[in-house]
Amino acid sequence: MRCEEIQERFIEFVYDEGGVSPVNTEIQEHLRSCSACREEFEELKQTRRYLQLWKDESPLRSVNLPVRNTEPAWKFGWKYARYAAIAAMLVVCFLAIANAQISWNSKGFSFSTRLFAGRHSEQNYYTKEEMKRALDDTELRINETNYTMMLKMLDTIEQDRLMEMHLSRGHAAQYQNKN
Amino acid sequence: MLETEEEIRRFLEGEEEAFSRIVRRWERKVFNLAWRMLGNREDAQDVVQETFLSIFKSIRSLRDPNSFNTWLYAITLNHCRARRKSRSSNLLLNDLMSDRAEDEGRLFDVNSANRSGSDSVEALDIIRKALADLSEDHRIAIVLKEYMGLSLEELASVMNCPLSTAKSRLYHGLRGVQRNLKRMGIKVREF
Repeated sequence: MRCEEIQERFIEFVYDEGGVSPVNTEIQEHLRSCSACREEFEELKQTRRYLQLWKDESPLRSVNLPVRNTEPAWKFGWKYARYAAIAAMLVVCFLAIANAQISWNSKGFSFSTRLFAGRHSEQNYYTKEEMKRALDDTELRINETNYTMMLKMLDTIEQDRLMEMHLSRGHAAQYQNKN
Repeated sequence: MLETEEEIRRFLEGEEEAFSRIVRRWERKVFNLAWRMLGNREDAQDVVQETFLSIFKSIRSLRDPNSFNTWLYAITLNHCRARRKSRSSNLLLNDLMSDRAEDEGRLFDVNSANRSGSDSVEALDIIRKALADLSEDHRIAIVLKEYMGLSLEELASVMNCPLSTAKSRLYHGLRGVQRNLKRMGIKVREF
């Protein structure tokens, strides 16, 4: 065996893991005869001893141990049931708001809501005829009011005119009596 | 190891305390492995925490409880790699090498270092520097074999490589340490 091959196998000798085998016997014989390899072998052993000066130390702190979930199954299930109930409540609220309706009809304003979209009752709305009748009534009432106001205005003007006439006649009679 | 196997079995059967006993048994080993790989105690302590969290989560995937130690060391080394990447610890380790000039011409007596506390601190610093200059594979091989006391087969298992590769990495690692010590002017006396 050449020196390089021997040196590659030193490691088993240095750590005393070579055991007894023909190859190891060959290495031992080589070490006896080759001073360079013997010196190399000794240096490796001394390097090992030097490395052993780095002693073990204790850890700085204890390890924070993780805790495995030890809750009983029903408690674990109850926790999730609560979350499910809150989620269901939120969904109901959302649907109620999304399908809310404010309407106005002959009976007044009304607010209604439902979970799922669908046709709202007809009675919540004015029909065409009701709308027309309501508009006609409104127009009629406005016309009546205007007519009444105009009559009152004419009546007032007439009264003013009569008053003025009466006054002017009174003044004329007084003037004649003086003369 | 038999006791660790038993503790693993108990933990898997639901005994919480068994895991804390596993931690107490192995945390010192894990801390020292991480410390020697990273060269920094605080980082090593963080790695210990992360390693045992990983172990806690994945202990069910351990096929052979006999090989718990090699599995534990492999996970520790993964966390060391991740930490070095995230914090560029390599730079820190390499910085340790930069003041090599200060150590020129030093003569170190291993026997006296064993006796004197201050010399031990100095020796630790020198060894740390000597290891820092190695490639990662060589450093892992040296640390696992020299300080964790693994057999060559276990070393190959942790490093996930053939036995011959593990031996070669260990040999070249040891030669590397020897070379670095010489470069720092350390002459280990024969004794």
